[in-house]
Amino acid sequence: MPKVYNWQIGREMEFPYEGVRPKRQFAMVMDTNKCIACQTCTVACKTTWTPGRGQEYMFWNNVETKPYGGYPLGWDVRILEKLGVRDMTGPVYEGKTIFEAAPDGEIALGYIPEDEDWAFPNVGEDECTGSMEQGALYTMPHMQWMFYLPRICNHCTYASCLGSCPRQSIYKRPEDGIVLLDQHRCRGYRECVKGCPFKKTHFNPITRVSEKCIGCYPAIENGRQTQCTITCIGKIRLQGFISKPDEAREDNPLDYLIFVSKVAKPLYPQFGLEGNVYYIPPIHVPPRYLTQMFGYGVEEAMETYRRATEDKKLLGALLLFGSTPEIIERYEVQNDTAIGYNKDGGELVRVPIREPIHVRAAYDEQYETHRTNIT
Amino acid sequence: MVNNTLPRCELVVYNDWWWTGSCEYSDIVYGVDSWMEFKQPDMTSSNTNPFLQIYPATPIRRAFNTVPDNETYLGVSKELAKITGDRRFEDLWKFIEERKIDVYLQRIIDHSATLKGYRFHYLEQLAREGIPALLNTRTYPRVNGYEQVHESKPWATRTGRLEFYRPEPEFIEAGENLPVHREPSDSTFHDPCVIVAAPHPALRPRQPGDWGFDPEDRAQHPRQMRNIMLSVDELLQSRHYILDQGYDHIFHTPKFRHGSHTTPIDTDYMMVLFGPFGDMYRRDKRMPGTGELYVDMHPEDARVLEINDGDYIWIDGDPAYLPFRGWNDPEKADAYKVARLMARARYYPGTPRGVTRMWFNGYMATPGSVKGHETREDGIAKNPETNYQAMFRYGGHQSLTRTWLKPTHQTATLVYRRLFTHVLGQGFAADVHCVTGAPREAMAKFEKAEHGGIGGVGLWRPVELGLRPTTESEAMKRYLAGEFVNV
Amino acid sequence: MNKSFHRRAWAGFAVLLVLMPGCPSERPDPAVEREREGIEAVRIEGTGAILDPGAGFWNEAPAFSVQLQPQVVVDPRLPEAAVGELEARAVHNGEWIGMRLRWADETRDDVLRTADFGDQVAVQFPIDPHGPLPSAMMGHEGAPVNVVQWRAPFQRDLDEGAPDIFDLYPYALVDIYPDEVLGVIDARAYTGALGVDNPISRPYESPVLDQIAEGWGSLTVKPIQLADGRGVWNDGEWTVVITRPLFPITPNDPDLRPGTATNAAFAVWEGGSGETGARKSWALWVPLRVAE
Ligand code: SF4
Ligand code: SF4
Repeated sequence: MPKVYNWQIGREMEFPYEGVRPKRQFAMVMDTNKCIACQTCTVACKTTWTPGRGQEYMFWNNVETKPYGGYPLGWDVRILEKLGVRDMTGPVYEGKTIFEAAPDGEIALGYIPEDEDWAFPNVGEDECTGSMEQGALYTMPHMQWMFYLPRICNHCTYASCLGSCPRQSIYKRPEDGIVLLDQHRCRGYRECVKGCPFKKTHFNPITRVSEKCIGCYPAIENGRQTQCTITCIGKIRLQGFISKPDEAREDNPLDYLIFVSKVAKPLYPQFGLEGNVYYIPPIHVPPRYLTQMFGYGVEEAMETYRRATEDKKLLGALLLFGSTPEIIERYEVQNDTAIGYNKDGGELVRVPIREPIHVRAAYDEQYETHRTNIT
Repeated sequence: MVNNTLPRCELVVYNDWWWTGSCEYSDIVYGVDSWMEFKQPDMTSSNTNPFLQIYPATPIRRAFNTVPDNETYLGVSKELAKITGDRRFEDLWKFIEERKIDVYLQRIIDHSATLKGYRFHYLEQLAREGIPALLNTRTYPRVNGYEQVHESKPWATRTGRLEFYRPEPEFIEAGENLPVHREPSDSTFHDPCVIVAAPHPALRPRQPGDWGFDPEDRAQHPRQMRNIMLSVDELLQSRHYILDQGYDHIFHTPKFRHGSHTTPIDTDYMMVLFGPFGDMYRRDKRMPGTGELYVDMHPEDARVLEINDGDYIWIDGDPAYLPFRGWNDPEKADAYKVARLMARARYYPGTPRGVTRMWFNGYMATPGSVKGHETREDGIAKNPETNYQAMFRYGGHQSLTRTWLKPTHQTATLVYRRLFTHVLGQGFAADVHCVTGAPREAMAKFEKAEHGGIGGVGLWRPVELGLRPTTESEAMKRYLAGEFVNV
Repeated sequence: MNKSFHRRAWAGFAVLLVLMPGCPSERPDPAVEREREGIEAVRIEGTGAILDPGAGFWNEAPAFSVQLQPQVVVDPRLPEAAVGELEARAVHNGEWIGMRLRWADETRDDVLRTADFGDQVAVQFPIDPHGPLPSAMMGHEGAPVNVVQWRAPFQRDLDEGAPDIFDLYPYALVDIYPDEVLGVIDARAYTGALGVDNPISRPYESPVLDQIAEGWGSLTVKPIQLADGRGVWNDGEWTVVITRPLFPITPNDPDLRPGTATNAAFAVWEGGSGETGARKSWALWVPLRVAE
C-alpha cells in the first residue's frame, strides 16, 4: 500500500491510495463541555437530509452520552476491542491503525453492525459511571462521570469508507475535502459500512445503496456553516476549514484551536483516518478514558482550556462558536472583541469577550415607566 | 382527573394546535393555528429570558383548516352575547373581530414596564428580518435585587428589609412564620409533609384538633394541614406510612430536555430520541411508538425486585386513591386497565437507592390509545379514531402523581411588588398567591411485568451485549477504564 | 489517486493461473477432460427469451458441474466460499440462449435490510469470441466481457412488488415522508439512489442486469438491457435461468450465434453469508459451445 503522512499520529502510515490533500479541507470543532444533548442538531440534520424512505433509522448527526451511549450499539467498544490495547504514550503513535491491522484479505479492520445494532440511537442517555456514596463530594476528575459526544462524519483525510469501496463510489472533493458517496455508482456492497470505524455510512434498504453525511455541501459552497452547527442550542460548534498541518494560520479560528493552542483533539486518532472533526475534551472526565478517545495530549488540552481566560486569542476563537451562520475564514481579537470575517474579508460578527452590562434608570422619564428586572 | 373529576363536568371545551391527551377527553376541540401558522402576529416573553419573542404573521400555509386561537374565544363569546343579550361578551374581543390584533399587542406593550416605548409594528418589522427585541429591564443582564444592593433601596416587603419572620396569620397558622423545613408532601421515606423544627415559642401552628380532624389522617388534603412538628431525630425515626405496604420507592417526574408541557414530542423523530428505548423500526411491537417512557431505578433496587434493565414493569401508587378513586370497582375494570401505569425500567446508577425518576412530558395512555395498542396489527398505541399517539402502553404520570395545594401559596395578606413596577401592593395577586407547581412526586411500588427482550423473550439487547451499567462485558469494562490504551 | 491494488490483483492472477484446472503440469483425468469439453448449448424449439426454469427441455441439455472457489485475488476477499458447486445447463432456440444454473442454498436471501445481502448469480461471456480471451476476472482493458447477473431481491420485486419499509420492518412507525407533502420534483432530493435511477435500486423489467466490464471495478450497467431471466428457490435450492439474445444487437453485446465456440465464467453470492461484490465464489472460464 502507498504511504501517506497522518499528522494526528505523527507518522507515515499505509493507505490504499496515494495521499493527496484537497485544496481546502472541511472541518469542525465541537466543545464537549458545552453540549447539553438536546438533539436539536440531530433533528435539524434528520429533517433536512434523511426524512426519506429507507432513511428512517439514519442519523448522520447523532449525539450519544459517553461512556454508555453509542449509535450503532457499542460501535467504539467493538472496534477498540478488535484493534486491541495500544500505546498512547507520545506524540507518535506506534500502534497499528485500522489499515495496518487489516486481516488478510481486508482493506481495513472493521465489521458490519447487525441490523438491530441501529436501534436505540439514544441508548445510555445521561447515564454516569457507577453510583455515588451518600455525602460524597465531587473532585476533579469526577469519580462518576458522563458527557455528550455529538458525531457527524469526520470527512476524513484518509477516509476508510473511501479506501474500502472496491468500486470507487466514494470520493473526496478536491475543493473542500467533503467525502461524498455517489448515489448512482454505489452497488450497495456495504464495504464502506464495514470499513468506517465510526459507522458513519448507512445502507438504505429501500434504495439498496449506502448513504452518508454530505457535510451540507450546498451550504458550504455558499459560505454557510452546516445545519447541525447553525442550529446548535449550546453553541458548541464551529465549522470552517482546517489548513494543511504545515500551513496552519493563527488567524483561522479552527487552526488556532487545533494547531496553535491544541485544545481541540481528533476522535480516535489511532484508527488512522485523520478525521476532520475535532473535540475539546470534557474537563471533568478521567484523562485515561479521554486519551483512549482523543489521543495523546488530552491533559494539556484540558489544562489549556481551563486557563482560556489567559489567552485572548483562544477565548476569542471560543466565543465565535455559534455566533454567525456564515463560515468564519479569519478572525482577530481587538479591544476585547472577537471579530470574524468571511473569505472576502467582510466582517461577519463581533463578539465581546465580556458580556456588557447596561443599567437603565429606575424610572424612565421619557416613557413614564418603571424599569424592573423581574416582572 | 380523568376518572374522578371529568365525569362531574358537564362540558369540556378545549382549543389546541396539537392533538394532546386533553383533546382526547374533550367534548369539543377547536383546532387552532400553531406558532408556525400565525396569520396574525403575536408575542410572548418569559420571566427569565431577556428577549421579547415576536411572531410575525407568516405566509406559510396552514397544515389543516384551523383558525387563530383568539377567534375561538370570539366565536364562543358571540354566541354567549346572543343567548344573554349582553353585548359585552362580544365587545371584549372587538379588535379580534376587526382583525386588528396589533391594537391589543400595543396595549400590552404600553402597560408593561419593560416594553413601554416600543411600537409593535416596528418590532414586527425587525422580527421579520430576524432581529430580536430585548426587554428593557433595569439592568442587562438581569441582576436580581440590583436596587437593593447597589442603591440601598428597600426590599418589597412590609418593613423594607429582607424578612425572616412572617407575621401574617396564614403563616402563623401553618407554622411557617419562621424558616422551618417541611418534609416533601409525599416523596419521602419519613412522615410526609411534617414541619421539622426545634420547639420555639413563635411556632404554634394549628393542629388537626383545631381543624377537627384525626391527627393520624394523612390523606391528600388533611396531610397538608396537619402541621405536626418533629425534631430532626424524630423525623429520621419516622416512616412514611405507606412504606410498609410495599410502596417504598420515591417516584419523581421532573421535566426533561426533550419536551416541555405538551410540546409535540409524540412525533416519530422526537420519540425515538426520548431516552434509551427508541427504535424507528419498532422491532419490538410492544413499544407504544418509536420510543417510550421509562423509570430510572438504581440497579441494586431493581435487582432486589428481580427487575432487569429494560424490562416492562407495573408501577403502582397509594391504592387508597391511585390511579383513581374507586379503581377496584369491577365496573371500572376498563378504566383501570387504561390508568394502571406500565413503563420500561432502566438501570440508572445516577439516582440514589430508593429514589426513582420518570421524566415528565410523556403522552399518557387513553382508552383510544389502548384500543390501538391492543387491536392494531403493529401494536402502535395510537387512537384509531383520533390518531392520538401515546408514549405509554398503559397509564401515565398521573397514574401516580397528584397536585399538592400548599396553604401558604394561597394567602391574601402578603405585601409584594406590583407586577411591572417598583410599587408596593398588598393582598391577593394572581402571580404571587395562586398555587404553583405541578404533580411531580409520589411513593411507588414496582413489579416486573414482561421481559425486556423483543416480544418479551429474554433480556433487552443492550444488556445481552454487555453494554449496560452493572452488567458490562469484559470489553466494556476495559473501555470504561480507558484500558484500550497504555498511557 | 493511484489504485494500489491493481498491481496486487495481477500478481494474484498470476498465482491463480498456476492453480487453474487444465494447466499442462496436471495429469489428465476424466473430470478434467469433461471440463475441457465444457458446456454445450443444445438447440431447442421455440422463439424469444428462454425463461422457464422448470421446462422439460432442460433435460435435453447435459448438466455441467461448475466448481467454484472463493475470490481471493483482490481485496476485499472471501475467505471461505459458501457455495462450492453449480450445475449449469445451456439451451438455445436460434434467437436466444438460456443458461439454467442450480445450486444448493439453505437460505433464501432476497430481502435487503441493513445487514442482509441478497443471493445472486452471474454468467460472464467474452464480447468477442474470436479475439484474445479476456481476463476471467471481469475482463481487461481492450478485452471487455458481458456480465449478466441475476439478483434474488429483483426476482422478489418482480414477483411480489418492490418493498416499502413495512415489508422490511413490519412494525415501523413513520409519521410522514417528503413525497406525501411535497410534489414529485421537490421530494426527489429525498429519494437517493432511486431518484438518480441507480440500476441496482430496482429491476427495470427483468431480474437480470446486463452489464459490461473491462477490469476490476469497471462493471457498468448497459444502457439497453437485453438480458432476462427467472429464478425460483425451492427446498434449499436455487434454480435460475439467465437468457439473452444470441446475436449482438447493441454495441458490446456478446456474439453467441449458433456454431460459436466461446467461454463462460460464473460467480455466485450467498447473501446469507454476507457475500457481496468482490466477496463471492467464482469459476474461471469454462468452454461454451453453441450448437448449430
Ligand atoms: S467518518 Fe467514516 S464515513 Fe466519514 S469520511 Fe471518515 S471513514 Fe468515511
Ligand atoms: S444542538 Fe448542540 S448542544 Fe444540542 S445536542 Fe447538538 S451539539 Fe449538543
